[in-house]
Amino acid sequence: MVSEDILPRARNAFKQALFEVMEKMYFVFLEPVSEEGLEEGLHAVEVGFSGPWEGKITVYFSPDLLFFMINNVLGLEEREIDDKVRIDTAKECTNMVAGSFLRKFEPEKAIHLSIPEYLGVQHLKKLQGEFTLTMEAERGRISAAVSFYRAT
Amino acid sequence: MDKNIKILIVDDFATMRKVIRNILKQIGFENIVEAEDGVAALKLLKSQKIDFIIADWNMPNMTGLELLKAVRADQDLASTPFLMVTAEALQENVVAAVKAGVSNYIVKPFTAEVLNEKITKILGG
Repeated sequence: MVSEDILPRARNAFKQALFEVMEKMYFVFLEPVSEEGLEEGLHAVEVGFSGPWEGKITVYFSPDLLFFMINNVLGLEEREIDDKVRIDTAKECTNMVAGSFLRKFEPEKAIHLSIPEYLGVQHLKKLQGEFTLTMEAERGRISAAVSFYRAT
Repeated sequence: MDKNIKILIVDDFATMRKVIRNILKQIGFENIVEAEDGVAALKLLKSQKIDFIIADWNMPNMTGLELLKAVRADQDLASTPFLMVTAEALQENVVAAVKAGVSNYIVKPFTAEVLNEKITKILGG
């Protein structure tokens, strides 16, 4: 478990990372949503981190957000997008968000990322983690859950 | 700066390769080839002349750092400019990359302007 006073800083760093990646790489502008109303059929990607902090980050993309991101950067239409492109985009986005989050959270410490893993399409009732957040875009939503296993 | 140079993009994510390819095209580079990891990149580097390498750090099979070391250890490839792309800007990684002879590195997420700046700096344009 991590001490409670760390969590607001971590949550804020994660939120900033999410904004930065979505705006810079995918031209998607996010708004926080007060209610974590999860949609059905979310594409989930998990990435682990290790070092002075260990844990995992799981990011959930709604299908319409994923399409919006792909359409923005690659100009592809729905019929042109296959699962490989969807999975690749979700994994790469998660990788960048995780890297950016750790840089903002602990800029002086060496925390390593694992290779992101696609967990498939998930139907969640509730997000599980030390902290969670959900953001809304012009089209679709993105949610994330961050868990810490150990802090040394 | 010669915009006709052949650039190799190495990244295990096809979408990121396409994103970088699109940015390079915006900047004016048209001669672009791709590889999905370090192993495929080395094969390509042995079979055709590549003028500039842009490689991701975090890849399965062979990391960007391992690819960089292999390139620098090969006398035919050793002088090829190498731009490392990374999601983690760890000091120890930067030091390791500099020691291995990286030309420059860029942290994701990045904008087209930043990528252009890095390439221009390396090519001295």
